[in-house]
Amino acid sequence: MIALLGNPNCGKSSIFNILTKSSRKIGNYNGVTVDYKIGLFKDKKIVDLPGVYSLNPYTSEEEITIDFIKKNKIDLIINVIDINSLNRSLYLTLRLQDLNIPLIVVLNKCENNNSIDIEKLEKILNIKVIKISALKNIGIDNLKKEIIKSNYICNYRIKLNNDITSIYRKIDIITSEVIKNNIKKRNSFVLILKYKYLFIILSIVMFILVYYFSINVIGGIITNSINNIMIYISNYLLIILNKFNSSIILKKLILDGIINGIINTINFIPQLFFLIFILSIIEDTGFISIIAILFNKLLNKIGISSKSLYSLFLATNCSAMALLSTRTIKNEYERKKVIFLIPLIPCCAKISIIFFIISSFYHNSFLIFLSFYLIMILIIVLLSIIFKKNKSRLIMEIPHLKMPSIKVAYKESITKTKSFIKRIITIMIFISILNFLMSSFSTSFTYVTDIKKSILYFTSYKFSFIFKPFLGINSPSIFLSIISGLFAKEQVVSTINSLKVNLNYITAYTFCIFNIFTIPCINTLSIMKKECGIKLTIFYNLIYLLISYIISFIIFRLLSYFV
Amino acid sequence: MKLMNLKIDGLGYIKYINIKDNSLKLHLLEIGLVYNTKVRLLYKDSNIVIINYRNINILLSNDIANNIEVYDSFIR
Ligand SMILES: Nc1nc2c(ncn2[C@@H]2O[C@H](COP(=O)(O)OP(=O)(O)OP(=O)(O)O)[C@@H](O)[C@H]2O)c(=O)[nH]1
Ligand SMILES: [Mg+2]
Repeated sequence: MIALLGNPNCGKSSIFNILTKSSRKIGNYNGVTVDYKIGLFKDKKIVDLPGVYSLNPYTSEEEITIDFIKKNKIDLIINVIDINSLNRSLYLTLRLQDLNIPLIVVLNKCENNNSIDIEKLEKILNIKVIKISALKNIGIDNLKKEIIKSNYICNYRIKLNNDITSIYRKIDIITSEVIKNNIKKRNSFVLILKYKYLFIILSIVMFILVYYFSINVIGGIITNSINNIMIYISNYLLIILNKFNSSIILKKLILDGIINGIINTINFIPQLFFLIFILSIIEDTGFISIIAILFNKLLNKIGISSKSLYSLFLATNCSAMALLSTRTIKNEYERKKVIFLIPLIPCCAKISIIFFIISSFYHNSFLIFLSFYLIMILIIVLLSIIFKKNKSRLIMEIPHLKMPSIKVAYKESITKTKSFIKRIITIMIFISILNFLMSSFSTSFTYVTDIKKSILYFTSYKFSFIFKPFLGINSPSIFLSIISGLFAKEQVVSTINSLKVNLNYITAYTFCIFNIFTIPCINTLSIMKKECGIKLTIFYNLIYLLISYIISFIIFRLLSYFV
Repeated sequence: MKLMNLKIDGLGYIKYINIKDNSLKLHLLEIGLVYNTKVRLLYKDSNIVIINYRNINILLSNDIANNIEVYDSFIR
């Protein structure tokens, strides 16, 4: 096994993606990777690990790396170093000697940094040093050659004593010899902080514009044309089915259930794709750190630290991913609090529900969209204040801002969208068949045509009274669509469409609110259990249920009263 | 003097870190905040400071920055 090891944000996952043709998440901040992944390059196993500063783990994702290194047989360590911070990164390199594992050093991000004398560095360390740029694909072949060699030898030895200060002294001497001319990275964020309030307003405007654009421009134009294509396809399918003289039951199952459900969800894919794309562009510039600093006073007032903002930001993409990222939060109380807040933030799947509701009931009104977000922010701020505790200690590296890579963002959004579509299709088929069986058979398992005699009606009628207080109607299909949301939230839209649920413009609103705040999808639940234990997971979910119920009830009453 | 009390854009050299939490102290040392390291204060407000050292930037909450002592010039 070959391990990619290095400080956070030096480009390990980028290199891993190139070598193994994978699509690990990449971002310009520390702690993007929080779990290990093994991939294959030719016949060699390569593992991508969370970044570490030393062999003494400080946060729990660092622990994962150190554990992995100690428990597995590693044949070669590829020590990745960001060439711009050689001065700090060599500490890990020198410490890695203690492990007695063959080592090569890879200086990444070298595309516009030519200031280091590689031969000299090689000689001093007595380790093979390779200069590459994972971003611009420079020097990758040299790295590959080195990996293929496979008679890795372990011949480094710089005498060290255990005192950290003296190790850094040694590093200072090494770097003064190998760095020819010191390239200082400009700290553009200092300028931004000078005009703090201007940038606070700008960043709020930016986010509003992104959503506005995706709803009104993309939602308006592209989604409509896709819709037409989809209608054409489903008509075509109908013709084919007719040709084969297939039974009405099959037509009902395939056309109404599966196709209809899938088509109506796929409608929102362009909007989601755009959103994910823009979010990953923002992530790749490192701008989130700036937002974290700009808003740190405000966040502190409600008891959220700048570090937690990363996880909350990721939650706008996917709750499960955001939950994993909380591993980088050192303070346990704060970590559990952030875990609690994450599912309340609409992820892309939940956004598809919002998109659906506002496009079907409110003519894509941006104000209605904003109102969902304002309610969400209000609730999160309230809960956050309720669970506020003393400030926690915070230490966080701020990455240098960089130009975003369109390629990286595009790749990430494509991967995300693909898995999104795959999930919709597989679950939709499952739900449709289930729905078909449940609505076509009675409790004594005989085939019925009257839905009132079916299992579906029988079972969901029993439970659907639960939803009556905030939806006003007692409908089995609503029950089924909310349940289907437990598999994956985007499923709610498909199920509503294939079951032709009756909503009006009031109940559509409360239905959406309920879905935003209620229990998250199974995937999120299982990660939640892993990250904070079964007891807390159950407790949190009871609260989600309570919150979603109470809020949608209040809103239903208010709307019915005033509108 | 305290790291906190450096002027914005002012330089300091780490004297010692006065933090009881051993793992945090070790972490600070291991990321390079060792004796005599040159640091530049980039930003401070009532909660945080941001410093630049060894060509990297880190944000520290005030309770940490309050416990780092610096010299105002390099000590031979
Ligand atoms: N300029 C430049 N940027 C790069 C290069 N390689 C990677 N990056 C960027 O560096 C940032 C971090 O890359 P990642 O691959 O996520 O780094 P990592 O080491 O896996 O980070 P962690 O998982 O947080 O430890 C991203 O914004 C990348 O686009 C490079 O060769 N040049
Ligand atoms: Mg990574």
